[in-house]
Amino acid sequence: MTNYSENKPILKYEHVDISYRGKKAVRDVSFTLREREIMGLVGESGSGKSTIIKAAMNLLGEDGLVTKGDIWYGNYDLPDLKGEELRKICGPELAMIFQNVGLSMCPIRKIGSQIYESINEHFRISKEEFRTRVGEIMNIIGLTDYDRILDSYPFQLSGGMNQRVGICMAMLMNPKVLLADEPTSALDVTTQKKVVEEMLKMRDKYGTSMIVVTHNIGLVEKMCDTVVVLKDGEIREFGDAKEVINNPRDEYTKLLMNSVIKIKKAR
Amino acid sequence: MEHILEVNKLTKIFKKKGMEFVAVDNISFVLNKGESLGIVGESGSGKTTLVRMITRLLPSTYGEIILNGEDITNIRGKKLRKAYANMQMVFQSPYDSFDGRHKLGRSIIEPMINNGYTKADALRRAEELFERCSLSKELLDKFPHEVSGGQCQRAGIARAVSICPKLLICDECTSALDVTIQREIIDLLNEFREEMDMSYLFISHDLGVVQSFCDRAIVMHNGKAVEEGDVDDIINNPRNEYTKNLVDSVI
Repeated sequence: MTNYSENKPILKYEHVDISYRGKKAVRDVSFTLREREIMGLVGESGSGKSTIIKAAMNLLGEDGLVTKGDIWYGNYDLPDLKGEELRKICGPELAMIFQNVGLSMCPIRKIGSQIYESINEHFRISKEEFRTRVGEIMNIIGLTDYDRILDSYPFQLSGGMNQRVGICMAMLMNPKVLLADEPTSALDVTTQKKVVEEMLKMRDKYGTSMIVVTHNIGLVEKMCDTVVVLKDGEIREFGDAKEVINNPRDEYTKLLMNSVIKIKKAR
Repeated sequence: MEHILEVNKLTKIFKKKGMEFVAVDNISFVLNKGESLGIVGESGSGKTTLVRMITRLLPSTYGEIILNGEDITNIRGKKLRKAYANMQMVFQSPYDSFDGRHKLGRSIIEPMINNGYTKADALRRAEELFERCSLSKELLDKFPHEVSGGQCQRAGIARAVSICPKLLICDECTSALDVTIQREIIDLLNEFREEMDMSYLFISHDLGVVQSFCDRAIVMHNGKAVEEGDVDDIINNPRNEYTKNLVDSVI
């Protein structure tokens, strides 16, 4: 294990079951995320990756329910929190990057005003200061014409641009734990590399812990310390990321790792 | 070596409010018989516009497309339908490429019937192909939304190869699929390549997949072909600055 295994636990899943309309989607999932740790959550479509992180922020919707187990953030059992308490935690403490940021925003309001509102909800910030900070972050992750983007509606941007808007929003919040649902799935490889580097910098600078949901094993290898492999809602393997990728022990993990097509360089 | 596809100075210019945008800029290449040619590039590089012109789904601004010795740049109607017997496509989104109101079986036998099969023969062949693609033949009786993405994509491949085209064009045909399924699809395409002596034009943003499947590749950037050559060569010794950056960014 990496040196993070000595750090204090920050988010703890204990025997969590999650059901949608009475149908179990996630079964007996337990793991601990520690401070400064980046954990990868991998698996195929429908394996329950997104459901697990959504449960931490009570975003399962009307049909979804944590039916068993606890998700601990400090002294709070997240699935039991209601209203005011939950709002205090979600945002500044726990933040989420959605897979489809365009859909998670209001379609009839400009992006700038939506980001401003979400930040202003938690910290007082002037509009000028807001524009400069957004500009700095957007510049780094490759959205150079940020003035145009802030004055656009979500549907006017491409999937990759929207995704970066979400990343920018989460970075502005500067949360303790960042939950990222496929944060780079719509990005080109060159942009993906920038975003990964920026997320790693964020960890180094602010000590952010992260859970990254992805189907990209290369991404896990590049940025994660630990990895959880899911299949049909159950954990198949959990451990040090490099160890699991290079020496998978579980049969399914072996199949998954063998299916990954990587580019082969002679050097 | 014989050419199956020849593209000469193909260009697409989109015009909007008097502004011109060159989406594909003067691209020329040849695809040899039995060869698999990859086209890689990032979003907006013009890959899809290029194949949409080759498949005649989009008119080209200028340039010419020669398929199996015949100039298909401007042909229409019956002639174009005949050209499609030599050229079939597998699309990115398996669900969208089937008519959602038809059962898979009906969608799959249609091209065969159009190409002279009797209904009974077409059905027999569809069952055979489904078996080859590891799909149970009961799936012929299902609607697209009733099967998984991987199954639907395999049905799409079965449909495309059913009439033994000389050229199969795959536009990001594995990018929506899980890695285990992606591996299976690539293996399947490889089997068909050996069996039917098909040539492939394989569009992908994933250099790894292109390397594992293609012999040669063209790298596109801003509508231009910035590099062309042997795939391993491109990856190991990229000559163009952009290609270098692209290869280095792969994780």
